[in-house]
Amino acid sequence: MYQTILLACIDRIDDEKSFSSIYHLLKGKRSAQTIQDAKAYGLSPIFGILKSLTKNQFRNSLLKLHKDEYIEWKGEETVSLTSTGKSYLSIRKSQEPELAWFDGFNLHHIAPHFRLRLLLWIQTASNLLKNHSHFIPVNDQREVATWVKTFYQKKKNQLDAHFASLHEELHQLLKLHQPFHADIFVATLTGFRKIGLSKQQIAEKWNLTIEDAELYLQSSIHFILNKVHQNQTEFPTLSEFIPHELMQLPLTASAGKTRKLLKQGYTIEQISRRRNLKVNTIQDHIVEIIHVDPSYPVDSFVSAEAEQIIRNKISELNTKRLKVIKEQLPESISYFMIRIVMAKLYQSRDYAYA
Amino acid sequence: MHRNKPDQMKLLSILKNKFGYEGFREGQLDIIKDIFHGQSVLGILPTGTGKSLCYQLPAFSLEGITIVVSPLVSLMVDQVKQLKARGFKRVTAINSLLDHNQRDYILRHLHDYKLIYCSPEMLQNPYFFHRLKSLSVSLFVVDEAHCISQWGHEFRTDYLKLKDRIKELGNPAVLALSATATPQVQEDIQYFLDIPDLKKRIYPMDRPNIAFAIEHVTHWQEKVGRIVQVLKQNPVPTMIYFSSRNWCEKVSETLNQELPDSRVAYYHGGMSSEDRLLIQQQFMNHQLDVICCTSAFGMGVDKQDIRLVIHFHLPTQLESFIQEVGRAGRDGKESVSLALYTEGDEQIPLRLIEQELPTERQVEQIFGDLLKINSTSLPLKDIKEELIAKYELTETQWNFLKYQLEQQKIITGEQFHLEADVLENTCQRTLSLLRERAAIKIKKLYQFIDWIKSTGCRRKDLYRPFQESYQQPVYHCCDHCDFSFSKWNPPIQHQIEERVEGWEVELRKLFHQEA
Repeated sequence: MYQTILLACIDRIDDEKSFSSIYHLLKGKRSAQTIQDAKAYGLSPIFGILKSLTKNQFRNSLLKLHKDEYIEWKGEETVSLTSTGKSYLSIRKSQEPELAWFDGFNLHHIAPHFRLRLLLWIQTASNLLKNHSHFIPVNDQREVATWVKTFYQKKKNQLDAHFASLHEELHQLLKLHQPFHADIFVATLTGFRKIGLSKQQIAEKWNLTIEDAELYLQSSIHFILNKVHQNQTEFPTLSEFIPHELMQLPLTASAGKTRKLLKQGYTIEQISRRRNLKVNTIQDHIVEIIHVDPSYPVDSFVSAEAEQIIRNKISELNTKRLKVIKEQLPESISYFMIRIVMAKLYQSRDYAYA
Repeated sequence: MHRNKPDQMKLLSILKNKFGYEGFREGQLDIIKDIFHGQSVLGILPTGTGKSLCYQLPAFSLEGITIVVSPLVSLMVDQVKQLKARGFKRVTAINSLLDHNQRDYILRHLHDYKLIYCSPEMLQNPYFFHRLKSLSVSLFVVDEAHCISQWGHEFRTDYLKLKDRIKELGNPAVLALSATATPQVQEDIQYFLDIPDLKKRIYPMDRPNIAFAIEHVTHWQEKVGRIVQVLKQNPVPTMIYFSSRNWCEKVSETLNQELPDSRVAYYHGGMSSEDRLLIQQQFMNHQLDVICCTSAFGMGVDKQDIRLVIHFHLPTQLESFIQEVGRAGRDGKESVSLALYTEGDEQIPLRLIEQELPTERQVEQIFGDLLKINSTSLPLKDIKEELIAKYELTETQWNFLKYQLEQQKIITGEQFHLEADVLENTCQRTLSLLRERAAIKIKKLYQFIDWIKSTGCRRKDLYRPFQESYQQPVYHCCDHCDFSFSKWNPPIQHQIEERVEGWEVELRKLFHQEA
């Protein structure tokens, strides 16, 4: 899975950008550049899906792909797929339907929370129903523990019935997994007299790489989250585990502040002065806002005519490289304007593998 | 001072109701009674006999709060979890693992806790200590008290600052605890804590239900072969100690292939805390039979039925060995310690010894750097970060240096004061200390190697540096007296057949929907 994702990323980005942009995408780096890459190359589903990845790990996987002759070096920091790599990628894609489950850009910030709530709650209820209140919790994050405590107060009078329906809903969703994938998911759960397996153990037992073990678990969480979120009446019990943040736009806190000030009618320069930030930074925020909020009005930053000129040029050149586009346009059109138009162009929730 | 001194009956009922034990183990009751009388105590109790209960029980009955200073962060965290699982909520640990918000939260709510674990470094934090002083401290516990002596197997310079802290807190009762302290170290503990009326409660550290065996092999692969052989014949709960993370992983993988009937996993400090917790709990819950681990494992693990402790690599001295072996047979049933030795194995602990303190070269270079600074006074923070990054110092190495600099008033509070002649002097002083400490450690290593190679009774020779005699072994003594694996008949728990069942069955079990 990890290998396929890397190949798919390289296929999209090709040698237009340094391969470290792929690393930042998988890590979910919240920078204007990475967010723009996610959108422009249709890679937002894989944004932040492998947060534990290290630079070394990433480099080694590239070396491995190179050794297997799936990729070739283009420059010091750029790679692209070989023809072997391309045909291998298309075979892998058809064999790994779970790739389409990832929804990193929308879920990366809440998926860990959702997972921890679910794990801790299953452990808690599974033990309490056997009158076993002395157990060591599988995670010790205070927010999660507090949430579980409050949740218990709500459910304690009908714990049996609640737990049965939680089982029912999870069962229904796991039925849509491949059997081995459902096995993996259930093996990580902890309950009464049964401690879940660690990532390493999953990898060993199912003969996966450590990255794949993590990605399979992550894809389950994204799948469950989206199914539940889209069908809240069908999954009323699981929908209670969704953190409220899902309802909010996945903006950085700083971009959120900028958005507020724009709404109050401040100009970019005023905000820059007020917040003591560079104009460039405020512009980054605006691009970020457009990425997550397609309906955001942009006419005060780029006129309709300019937008049309930029759109035409982008489709004519068929590239996502800002510099190339800028060079072919009149001087009066700024990088900022191009980035806004690109953000609008690539804002749809594009599934890279669908 | 302590108005409600509970009597023995009362203590027993607390023990039973709150901690779930039927009776006290040797030493516990005497020490607990001393504490309720406001007496300061030095308690030397062997590993695995419930040292921590000696302060945990009083902590929840005394009026004020109890502070526990411990150098072992993972131990603190484990103990807090275990206490919370038992229903004690007013307990916390303050250490380097906390992020800013968590630490802030705890400091603001310090008055809500009865039992507070903290690292010795944390006690030097002015804000924390200020908060602590505003509370009433009834009991000050010094865990791993041997760290105060450079003759101990671990030496923490921050422990030397404890005596001032204890005075500033208004001289609460002190409980100093250790599992392994020679008479010389015991004297150091009393001297450096500066408590003249310290009552000594020393209990024999030998474990009569553990037999000792040492086998000499020529190659590490032979070690693996031997382990496979022993575990095939005796599938018992086992811990295997290694010197490094790589070795843990490598041998764990081999054992998993060679021992299809045993469930093997590894555990080391490089794993995420989530994964570490899972492995530890699986071992406790009989889901795992064999753990390949570094010394990071086991400190807080209260597993009663570990039958076999194997040393694939050697620790650096007898004290660590005794502590690690002591995790076997806490239930009193017959258990075995097996150490595997290859000629030249002492190279690994020698390297570990080098890493504990900064090298002489590093010290010379660091003082050289300080001498070049063209300013007489600088904030500590700036220099500290630069030095740690440049010389890749560990926290222990930095603390050692910092202590030397504080002793000579080169560092006071958060400031550096740089004067050439003082620096030169301190450099020489630090270097000679370094040499002295290395010499002690190397001497201790060779004392241990001598034991590995000795031809006499293992039991007698192992405990001789610590106590005058030892108890009669309950089962077997050692491979030089009467033990061989062919005579060993450990109780073997028949594994619950692990059926391979699909996720649907597993999920139903977890949710109790099996009907």
